[in-house]
Amino acid sequence: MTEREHLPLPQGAEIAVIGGGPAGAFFSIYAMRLAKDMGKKVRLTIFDRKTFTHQGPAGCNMCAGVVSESMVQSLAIDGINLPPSIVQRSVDSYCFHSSSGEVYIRSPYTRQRGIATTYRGGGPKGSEKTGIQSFDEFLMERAAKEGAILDRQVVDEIQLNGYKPRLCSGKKFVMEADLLVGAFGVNALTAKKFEDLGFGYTAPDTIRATQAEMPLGKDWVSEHFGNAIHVFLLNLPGVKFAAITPKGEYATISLLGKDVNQETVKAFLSHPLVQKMLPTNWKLPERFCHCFPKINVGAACKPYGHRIVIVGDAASTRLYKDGIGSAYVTGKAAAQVVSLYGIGEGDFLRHYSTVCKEINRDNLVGRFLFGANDFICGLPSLSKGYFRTLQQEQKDPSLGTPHSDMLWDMFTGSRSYRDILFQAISPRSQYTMVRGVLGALSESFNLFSTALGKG
Amino acid sequence: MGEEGLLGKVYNDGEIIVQEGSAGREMYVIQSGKVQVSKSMGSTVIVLATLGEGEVFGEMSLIDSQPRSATVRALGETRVLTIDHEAFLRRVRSDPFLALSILRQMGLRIRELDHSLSITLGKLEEVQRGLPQISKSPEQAQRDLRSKISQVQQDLNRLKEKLGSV
Ligand SMILES: Cc1cc2nc3c(=O)[nH]c(=O)nc-3n(C[C@H](O)[C@H](O)[C@H](O)COP(=O)(O)OP(=O)(O)OC[C@H]3O[C@@H](n4cnc5c(N)ncnc54)[C@H](O)[C@@H]3O)c2cc1C
Repeated sequence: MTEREHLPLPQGAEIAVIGGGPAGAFFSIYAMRLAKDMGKKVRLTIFDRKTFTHQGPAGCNMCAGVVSESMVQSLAIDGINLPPSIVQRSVDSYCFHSSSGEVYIRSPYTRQRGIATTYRGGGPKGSEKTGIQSFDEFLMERAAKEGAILDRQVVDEIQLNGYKPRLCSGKKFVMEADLLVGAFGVNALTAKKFEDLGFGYTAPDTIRATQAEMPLGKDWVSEHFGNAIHVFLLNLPGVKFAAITPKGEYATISLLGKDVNQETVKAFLSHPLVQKMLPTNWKLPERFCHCFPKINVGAACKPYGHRIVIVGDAASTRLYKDGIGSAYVTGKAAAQVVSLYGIGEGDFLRHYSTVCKEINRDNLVGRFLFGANDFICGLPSLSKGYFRTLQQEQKDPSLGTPHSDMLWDMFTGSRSYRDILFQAISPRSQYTMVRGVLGALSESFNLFSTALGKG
Repeated sequence: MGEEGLLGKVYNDGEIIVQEGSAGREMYVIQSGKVQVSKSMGSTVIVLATLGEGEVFGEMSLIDSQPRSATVRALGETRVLTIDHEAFLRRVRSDPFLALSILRQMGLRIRELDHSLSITLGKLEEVQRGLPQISKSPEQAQRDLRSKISQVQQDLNRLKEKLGSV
């Protein structure tokens, strides 16, 4: 067997991790733990120019910062408990708003505040006094505790022409690594540098998203948004997903879609269902914290090479949901492969590519499910029936809550999309849904006949 | 940061989180506050342990399906994160290392118990060795024995406290 096919991680290995977001941090935490378990000495350095302690997008990895239920639990099992200084608000429900009504869905499994809303950086611009602590910095500190070295510089040149990957920063040689880990996300130009290395990597497709922080004050946020993430199924042009996430003093707007921009934020804020949640005549301040990050909606091609592995958003992530959870899955899986099998191209092909493929396959089902959800919400009668079914389930959960559970799993990322699909096509789900739709149709018919009668 | 940043579920002082003998497959991680682990022995209740922030209980139930072996109640207002059994099993399928984390915690407890048990057994052996001395100098030997027996008694009590897993 050649070195390319199988190369065990050598004693005293130099590991370079490019990117200190969740994927880089999770890889580092688990690689350090496993190396210790296996009696191997490694020197692992995480490179990231960000410190995540500054306010605004420059110190932030730009996302809604929702740490999912399953992520919170997996971390707790691994001994990583999120302290209240990181958790801006603990959440126990999702509230879905549509023109057909509103429904609160509570966590069907543990009935607890098991989801964390966080800031990825030091908080929105102008929030200096609130003492917000960053989720990403917290993870970096955990990695450092496990023995990782944090190097706050950007890696702007990578060479593969020699025996091992060589890294440079500002034209200066930084290190020669036994293993190079790409955890650079989808928002930097680094992906192009990896593509240019010629080992077959191509970055995933992305779409633009927008985020805006609404400084509404703690009392307003608590009273009107409570411990719920609010999802708006509004059929706004070009918007695939719209949500408001409550944090301490702020509530974060997240919009995903094609070419979303500040105008899209304005259109969203002026929708009557959103207006209802805001103080009368409230407007975003002249200067407000906002950003336009990219979101991964595809899959990278060949996220590995000889002595190279790519994790997190830059590799594969769950469609629209739980990107931090996917960074955990891919980061941890790569750490296991490196420690247990090796760093040769063949090691990653056999043991790591399967993890990414599994996520990619599941996303195909996810695409179908989100499409079906959009379709249902786009047809008034169907949407009314759907919401009626959900409301009824929440009013009397003793009769079972299959549709609420499905929606919960879909929007929280608690289960694979494949599992959700199997649940959706079960006869029981079909029966309750048809009953709800028929109820809504007969209601519309009655209204129509009354109107005709009056006419 | 206030209460809104705490994860899990709040239990008030004295509220039972886990009842001895009941069925239940969840594991718990303490986010804030303390809990008391106790076990009924006939009519007496023995306190086995007091656990605090970051500590876990109920981890054995994630793996076996036996009824809860002790009662856990909140000491003051306590917030506890529940680890859902079914979701845990699903996750373990793709990430066996999660189960290893639980096993590691159980291993730590077993090691501590082993250590305490070996110390206690050593002391018992000393007591046994002291028995023949009684005939030579009965008063002194009795005093020594009494003090050793009380030491063993204390060690046994401490050992019981360490049996904190529910
Ligand atoms: C609008 C929006 C909302 C979202 N909301 C959520 C949510 O609520 N919950 C959730 O779980 N996911 C959410 N996501 C997805 C989530 O943001 C990502 O999945 C997650 O950040 C991926 O982590 P990562 O570590 O792979 O990449 P990133 O978080 O992007 O981290 C990459 C890091 O690499 C560094 N880097 C890049 N190039 C270099 C270089 N050359 N040298 C040194 N450092 C470098 C960057 O500075 C950055 O810190 C959201 C995404 C968007 C766009």
